[in-house]
Amino acid sequence: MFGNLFGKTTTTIATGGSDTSGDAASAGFTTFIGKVSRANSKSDEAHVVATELKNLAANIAAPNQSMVQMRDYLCRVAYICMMGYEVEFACIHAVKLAQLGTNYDKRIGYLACCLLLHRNHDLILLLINTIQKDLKSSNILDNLAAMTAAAQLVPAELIPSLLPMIVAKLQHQRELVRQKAVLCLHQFQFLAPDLLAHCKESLERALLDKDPGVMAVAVQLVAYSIQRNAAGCIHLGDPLVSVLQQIVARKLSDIFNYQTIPFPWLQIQIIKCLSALVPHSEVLKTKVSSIIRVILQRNSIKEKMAFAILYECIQCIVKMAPEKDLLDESAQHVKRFVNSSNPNLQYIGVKMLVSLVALNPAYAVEYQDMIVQSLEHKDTVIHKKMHGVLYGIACEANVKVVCSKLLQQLKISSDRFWKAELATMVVSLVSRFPVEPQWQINSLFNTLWCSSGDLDRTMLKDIKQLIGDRFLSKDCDPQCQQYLLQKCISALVSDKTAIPLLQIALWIVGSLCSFLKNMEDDKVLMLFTNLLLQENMPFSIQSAVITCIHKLVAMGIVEQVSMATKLTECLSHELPLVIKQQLNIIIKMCSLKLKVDPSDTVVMDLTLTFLDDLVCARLEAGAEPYRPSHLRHSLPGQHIILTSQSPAAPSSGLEVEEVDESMIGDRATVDSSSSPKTDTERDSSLIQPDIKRVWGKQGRLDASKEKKSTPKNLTGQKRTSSEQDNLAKALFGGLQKNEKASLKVFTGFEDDDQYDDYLNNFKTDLPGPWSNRLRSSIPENVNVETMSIRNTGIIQESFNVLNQFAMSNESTKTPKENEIDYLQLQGDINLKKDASNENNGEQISEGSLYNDLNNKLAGAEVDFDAQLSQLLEASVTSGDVHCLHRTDGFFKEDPVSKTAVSEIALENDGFLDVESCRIKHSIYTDSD
Amino acid sequence: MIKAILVFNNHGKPRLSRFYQYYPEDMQQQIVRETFHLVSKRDDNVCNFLEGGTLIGGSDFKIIYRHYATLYFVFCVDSSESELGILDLIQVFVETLDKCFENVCELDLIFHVDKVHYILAELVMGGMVLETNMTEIITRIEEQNKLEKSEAGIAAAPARAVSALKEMNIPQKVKDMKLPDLPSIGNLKF
Repeated sequence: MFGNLFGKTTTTIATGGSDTSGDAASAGFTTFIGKVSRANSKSDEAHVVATELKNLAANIAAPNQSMVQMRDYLCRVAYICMMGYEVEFACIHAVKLAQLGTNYDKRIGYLACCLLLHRNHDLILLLINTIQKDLKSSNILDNLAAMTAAAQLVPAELIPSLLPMIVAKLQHQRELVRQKAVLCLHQFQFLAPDLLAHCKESLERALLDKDPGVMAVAVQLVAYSIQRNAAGCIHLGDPLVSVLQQIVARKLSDIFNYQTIPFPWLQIQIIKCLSALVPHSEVLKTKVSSIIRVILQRNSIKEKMAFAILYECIQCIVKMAPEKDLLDESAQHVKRFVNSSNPNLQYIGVKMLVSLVALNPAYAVEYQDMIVQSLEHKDTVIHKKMHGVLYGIACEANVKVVCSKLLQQLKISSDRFWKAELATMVVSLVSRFPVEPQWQINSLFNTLWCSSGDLDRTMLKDIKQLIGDRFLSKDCDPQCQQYLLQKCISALVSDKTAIPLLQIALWIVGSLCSFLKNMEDDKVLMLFTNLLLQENMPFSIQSAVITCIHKLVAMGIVEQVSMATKLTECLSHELPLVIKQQLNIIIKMCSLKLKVDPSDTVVMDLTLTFLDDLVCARLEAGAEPYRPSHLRHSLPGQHIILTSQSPAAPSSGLEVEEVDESMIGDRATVDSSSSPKTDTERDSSLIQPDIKRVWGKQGRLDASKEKKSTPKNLTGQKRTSSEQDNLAKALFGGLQKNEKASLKVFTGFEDDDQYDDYLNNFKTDLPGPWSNRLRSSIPENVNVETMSIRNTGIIQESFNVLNQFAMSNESTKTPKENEIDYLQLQGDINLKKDASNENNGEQISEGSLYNDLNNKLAGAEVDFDAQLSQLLEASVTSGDVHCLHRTDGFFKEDPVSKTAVSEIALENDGFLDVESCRIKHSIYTDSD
Repeated sequence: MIKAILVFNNHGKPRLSRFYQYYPEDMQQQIVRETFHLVSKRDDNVCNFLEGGTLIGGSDFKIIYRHYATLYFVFCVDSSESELGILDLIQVFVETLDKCFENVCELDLIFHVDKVHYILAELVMGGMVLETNMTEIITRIEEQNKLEKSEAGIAAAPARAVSALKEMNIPQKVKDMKLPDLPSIGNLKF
């Protein structure tokens, strides 16, 4: 076959060389093919094809073309299409020919449609009518052609228009029609499984068709159902077994034998189905195992096809987790495969060995030599498969050798999928056999070195988790940790490290930064700043670097003055705004000589309760309630000193830096009466989301008043439960539309009850359900900033809202813009305090418009040394909270579901601390 | 499921390509090129299977090919297909072509694009194996050719008469007599 390329000359073919082929190729086609084959280069060929296409386009569109010509043109178009040229113009003519032609013309038309169109093509709509007509036709050739086209071309949404007709064809008297109908339905089932639910019965009846050919395709259809839902298809097991029994007993006609084996493909298919079913039914299992025994006995292994059946049998045996003797018998058969001289059988043998060894590694012992030889096998495919066997036989004793072999492959391979597979094997070996820690670290790092660019997220997450569990917890061997750190640093220094590895390395260095104390400060700093300033660094890495530097400063690893100078240098480089902002914070922290005891647990304070006392005290002392900066302009009657600061107000993100400079010289001052709560108090405020309002317009609220307010609310505002749901909508919708209403909110709520509701709504449902509701209820473009009202807690929540808002509606504000808004909000917090300070005749800090908690604390530190440590702790706490909120926004740029926040947090731990991730996670899971 | 059937010659020129899963045009060409690249590198004395690592379906994807003198026959399938089964299916396909074209050669595939596709359509439909019995496939092809010729002559005849004529075909009658003996299956209830 194909022995001689020009066994037949072009002329004989052109004049209809073979009788069976009917019509011969036209002269035009022959010349075209001749030209194409004479073309010396790709551009020559393109030229020839372009001329041909031009002619074809003109001819095909000309009126009054005969069907014979049309056929010829479409054949040429199909050929050109196969060569990879654009033939869109011919599609409509293919559809037309299918529609208008008869018999042979129609078939060519359908064939051209199949070759040129696809399911989502616009012209399919035109073709559907033709298919419907041909399905109704009494001509079975039309039926067949239509069904072939339908199987290939009909998209899911058009299936209902054809389905009844095709189901009816299952009863057709000709088996060929039934056969095609079954396969057509199989395709439909594939596209839209639910649509076919009602005709399941008639489909399964096809299994019992009197024609074995129809039965054979029906098995394929059943196989698909089984693959989707094996447990629901148990009832199919018995008919399948009985069919198989009859095939094996050779009760069916001989004409279906292939190489003396009856129905080999059908046998394979049935055994496949059964092996999927057996794990769900014990009864079936005994039946299947008995018939498999028969097949194993009867199979005369002379034909290749017999090996194919044998292979399926052994796969089935492995799935059944059966008796030892059956397994042993299959092991004997595997030997025949593996020792065969035919490479195909060898391959299949190794494949079987992989599945056998997974059950019991002892089966590999026999093949020791062979396995070792195969690792040098000249056929890469077998060679690759053998690594699967190696993986299967790994145990404590040999895991190192196995791993080194796998890593060796990993190094030299360039195939992405193969690398990912190898990496999975190595990681799973390391987690299964925790032998020497150094070896573990080396293996994981080598895996990451070679393949981290090719690994998917879950894989990287697994590796991180493994490292975290094994080496980063407190009771780990410091020597290992040191070794790990060394590895990481070498990864950070190298410029060839892939991004995922860099990220993991940074995360590890951050967790182990106490060991960096032994290094010279300069070196440590260089390590990070180099990374930060490296060109084309992705944001994720930059933020991870920032997190590390944060930790270095907080734990006092590096001398803070040199740190500050170094970081100030970095500021002059081009960096993302957020990163620069973080750097500023760190520099400030350095100048304050802050230090955190790493043993302290970090607690998140979502509502800034530690400021409540301070604010209350100020208000009681007669201070003005807080107003956001933009409002201060619009209320001329009020006593506004802060307006003078307006040039420095960060109305847009671009000004932040400027503002920042003015801030550095200033010191925010905070009243000493701000008494931070103890850890336990804060803890409880976290657990109990329903935090009561502690102060009002007239100062601290007493409990009785608050109690009274609730019933009043119910009657006064006729609040129903649905209204409660819509409260947010009402509040914020009004904010946008009604100036008056918004003023009400800005200046604090007119009546306290309203405020209470507002606050409670924030607290009780936060962050899950409430934010969802809010998200759905807030009209677009609402300025969430206006929600920053009197309480710092509310401001905090506002930012939450802001962020949630950005998540749900990215068109209005990106997380980055949000970040800027956030800074403004924080600025407002400080302004509020400034306002209260001012009323006490204290010094007003000018630059406090740019703010961060660190900054506020800076003021606190100067004035009140005694409370510094507590405040500082609070700052770390709330600092973390802010980080969380910020990263929240960034997460939304990844299309990851919200429920997987913990996962995201681990992956993007740019600003995050593991600790805060956990808190975050628990919050989300609690609220959901 | 069979995702694609490709035939190309020793120089990588496509001779037949049929995709059962939709890929954009340029992607199809890339698949043909990449497959040729992979397959042509391999010796004749290594196995006929290749796994994963290509455009079509990632790791859940196998290439099963046979090399005949000037042509490579390549089936791209997913992991649900049996390798050895497909290998023999290729053999059936080629033998059928050989019977239909009387000692088939590369040129037959070029000049009879339509016929080759019809033969293939009897073998595989929508990515699933339709018929594996060579004699059956040949009977069907011949039957269809015959019907077409006869119908062309009596195209004006009433449809019922035509279908009556179709029902008279002898090979089918013969086949009907060899119906499978499945007594037990009839009693089963679903």
